[in-house]
Amino acid sequence: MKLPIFWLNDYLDGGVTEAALEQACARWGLKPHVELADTLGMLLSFSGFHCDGIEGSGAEAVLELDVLSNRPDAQCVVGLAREVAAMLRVGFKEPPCGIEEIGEPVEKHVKMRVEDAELCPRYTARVIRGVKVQESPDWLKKRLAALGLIPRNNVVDITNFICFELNQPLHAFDLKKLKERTIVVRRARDKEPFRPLYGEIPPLTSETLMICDAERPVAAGGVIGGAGSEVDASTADILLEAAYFSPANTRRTSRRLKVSTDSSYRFERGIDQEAVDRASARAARLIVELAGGTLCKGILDSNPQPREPKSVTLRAERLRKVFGVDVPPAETARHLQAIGCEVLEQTPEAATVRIPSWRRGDLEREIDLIEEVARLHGYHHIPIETSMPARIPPRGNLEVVSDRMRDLLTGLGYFECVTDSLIDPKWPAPAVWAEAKPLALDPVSVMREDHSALRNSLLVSLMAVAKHNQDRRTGTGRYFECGKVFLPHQGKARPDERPVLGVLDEAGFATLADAVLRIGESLEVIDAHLKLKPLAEFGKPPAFLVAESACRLIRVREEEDGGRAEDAIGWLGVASADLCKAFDVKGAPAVAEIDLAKLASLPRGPRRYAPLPTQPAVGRDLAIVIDEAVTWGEVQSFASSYARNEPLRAAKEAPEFLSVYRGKQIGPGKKSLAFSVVYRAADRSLTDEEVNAAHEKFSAAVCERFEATVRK
Amino acid sequence: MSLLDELETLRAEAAAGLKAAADPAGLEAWRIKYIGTKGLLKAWMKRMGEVPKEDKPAFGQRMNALKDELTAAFEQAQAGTAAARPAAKASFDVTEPLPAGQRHEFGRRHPLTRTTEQLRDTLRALGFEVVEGPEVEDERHNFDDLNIPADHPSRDNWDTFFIAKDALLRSQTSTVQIRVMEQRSRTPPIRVIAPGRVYRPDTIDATHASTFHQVEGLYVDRNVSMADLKGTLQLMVEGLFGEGTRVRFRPSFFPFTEPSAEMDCSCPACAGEGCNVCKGIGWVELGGCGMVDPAVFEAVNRARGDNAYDPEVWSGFAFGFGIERLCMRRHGISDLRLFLENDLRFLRQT
Ligand SMILES: [Zn+2]
Repeated sequence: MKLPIFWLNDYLDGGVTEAALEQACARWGLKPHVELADTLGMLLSFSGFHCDGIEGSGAEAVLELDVLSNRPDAQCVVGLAREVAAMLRVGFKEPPCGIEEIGEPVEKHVKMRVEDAELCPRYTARVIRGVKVQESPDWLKKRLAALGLIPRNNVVDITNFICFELNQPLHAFDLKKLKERTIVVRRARDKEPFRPLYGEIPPLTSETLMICDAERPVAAGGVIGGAGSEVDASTADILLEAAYFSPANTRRTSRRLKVSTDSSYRFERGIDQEAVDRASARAARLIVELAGGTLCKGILDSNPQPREPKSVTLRAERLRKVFGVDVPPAETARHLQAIGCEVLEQTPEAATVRIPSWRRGDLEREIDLIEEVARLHGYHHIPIETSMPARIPPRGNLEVVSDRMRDLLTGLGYFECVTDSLIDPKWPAPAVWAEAKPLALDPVSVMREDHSALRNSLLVSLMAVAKHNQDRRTGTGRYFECGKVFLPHQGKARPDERPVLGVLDEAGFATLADAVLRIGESLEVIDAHLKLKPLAEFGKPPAFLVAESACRLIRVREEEDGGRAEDAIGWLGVASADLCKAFDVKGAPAVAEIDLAKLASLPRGPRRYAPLPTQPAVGRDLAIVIDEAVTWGEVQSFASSYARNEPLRAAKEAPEFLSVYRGKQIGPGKKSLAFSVVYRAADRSLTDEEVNAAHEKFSAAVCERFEATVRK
Repeated sequence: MSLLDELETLRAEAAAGLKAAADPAGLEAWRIKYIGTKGLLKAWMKRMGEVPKEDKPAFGQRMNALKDELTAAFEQAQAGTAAARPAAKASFDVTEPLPAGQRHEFGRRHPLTRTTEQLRDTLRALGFEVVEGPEVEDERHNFDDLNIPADHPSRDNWDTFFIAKDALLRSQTSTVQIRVMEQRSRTPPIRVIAPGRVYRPDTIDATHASTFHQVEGLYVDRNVSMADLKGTLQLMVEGLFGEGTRVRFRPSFFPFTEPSAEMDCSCPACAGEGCNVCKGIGWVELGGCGMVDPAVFEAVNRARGDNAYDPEVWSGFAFGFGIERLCMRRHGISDLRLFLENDLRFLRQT
């Protein structure tokens, strides 16, 4: 809302003065600026009307103010003048509304019928006869121009002026253009023809409230006038409409017709229902003054349910409790009176006030009055306190696990990314967590095609990050993200939101696997361990991974009955050539996606301490030549389970992988696996002979199990 | 005088000579005289022929022992003078890095994560628990129960992405206020923060994004006032920008708080003196806050079917801040798009 200071001064005793501004600044602990408008803008900013900018200087300055959506009454110069008067503690002057109704009775010249009082709670009409439509005087043109409006003729200019002066949109019809000099306020008939003053609108429906003459609609109520009934140079008799239209319906109509006007903007926020006739009188007075003519006697006024006066009680104790400041009762009363409240009763404990008609929209409850007193008293009075009792808040598992993952992965050289949840639906959709395509946004709310679907995997986003950084040669090629993926939920409108850890590593599979397998340790998982299991064991590997590399991260838990339970918690593998091509990513990065909720559900430490061994360990290496098809994992788990039944080897000391060799000396289809094992007795040092014998026995067992030979 | 006695004399002379040699040149002269290839010890060795056969082993041993002794003494003296003078040009280059590929490399948390953690740490210390809510919401949680009725202009401030009827991407983390309070497992007092993603249809440029992050705070107790709100936010900005940072409130409007305020803090770039970051004002806007509107408590009571949040008994404050905006202030970042682009040159810097 634009506020020209010279116009504002029309309603203030003595206008805005340096002296008044200085006193107000002193009350608010502020330093006045050199320019009057700057000081006024600052004061308004601190009372809830943020000043966005100022054009011009002195009394000619125009302030640009943000009027919050709960203050429709301040969408006009008079409304802001009330605020400034309250703030500066100067007198407020109502604009003159006195009229001389010397013409014939209005009923003689126009018939009016309101058929839908729900959508149009109040409708008034006055008639002015014999006007002369001409150019407006300078004072009027200057005021409209200051708001950026183009002056047209005196009658139209006056209706615009009242709209911005009193927040009452008006409409002037050329009375002779209304069939049978009749006004009917009713809903439109389906597809009833109507041409607005400008632009085009969709076909009307019965939800649209129309102002009609005896035959056809002449305006969309509160939104836009119609072509064919407007005031022009030949107009002599005017029907002046001043109404109150239902805010919700005006808003729906404005949206459906895709027309937003100064008028619809005000009606949808709610205007002062009680002041409709006063605004009409003020306009009629100006029309007679500037365009001549005779004002008919009386007003047609349909107002079947006038608002009952409203009073609200404000308790001093409640004010103190919410505001945190002790405001003396006299001050409370002064603040409330300054915004137009009438104090009906006041005790030291409470004040009961009548709400002014223009604030009926936002002052309904005690809390609304508390806000007004706080705002006008000033938020700078609020002390800085913290009386909260001390407390150690609990921490959620997911939060802890996500934190630990960030610690682990940044420690290992990975960079955390935050990527958009809205992705391009044209991206490939790897079925990491669900077969379904990513959820698409409703096309109506889409702003950009490439941000119109909800990701169902972090993998694609990380591929896009890899591509971005490869193009810029920024190095490392190690990325991760902790974020949500969105999976369609059978039979529910809202998807399943799964917290996921995604990792991408251009160094390849082994490096990423090494990192991922440290998760268990970094989380201090107890009674379970994490390992990789080839996907072949689960069925067909997914297409987005190179088939041989595809594997699942599983959690293995020893059951009480000695059995083992497995639970898949993530994926790992090398991105397929198709996926790399789709993102134009060079190399074949390894990727992993892990379900953070499942990680969070793992039993975590503190782990129990096991006493350190008292006896020394003796290590022995073993190299075996073995079929390619046998995995290290199989050898490892055999060695571990062997140890469980072997008194000389402690079960927890797992065999350690040393190296793998393939080559001419071994022959095709075979590989040489080297690893070391540890021998230890619980009660004594082992002799060489004992260790040698145990190792021989173990080597033979391994060779027998895997049809291997010991490599000398 | 036996040869052994003469040897003893030589030993004493040599020891005294070494003590007298104060500088490297003197030491070198001593070395040549006694233990050099043409020195006295070598000459003495040649006198082995003069020694009776039965004494030869003892003499040999004695000679060797003396040679070791003098050599050790010399080396010790040499080390002593070496320590006293500056080191010779080192072949050990301390600035030489490990070969590529062997260096320690560590990654970094995303700047948004670190700003969130900073907020979280401060607020945890004040007793706030971190909670989460869904990003895909229904209209009740995103609008109705937050006192943003349908067909009301206040909805204009919250344009929304829809997925389906009654499924939308939340436009503010305030939804979590409702989610937390309607949990039947909880009753007031409540003290939570909810960091998370929010979405609004907007053009994407340096200052606008359609996906961004907020942190919501909610405190409900018996006697919560705007003074507690100001005190909490004062501590929060000190945690973010350092001690001495100040806060101030300006009246504002949010449907779910009343009274409502915009919170400013003294400009972290100039400590409130005025600079081009704060456009000379000395203050920067950080976010919105206010006292929980009784209508929100009533909506929660309706959802719960009880009167656990009786507005006559309980009051509360709530605040919501854009994490990107705080992070930009902390690091002097001026382009929002950098956050979701994940350029490593950006991630390494911030
Ligand atoms: Zn500054």
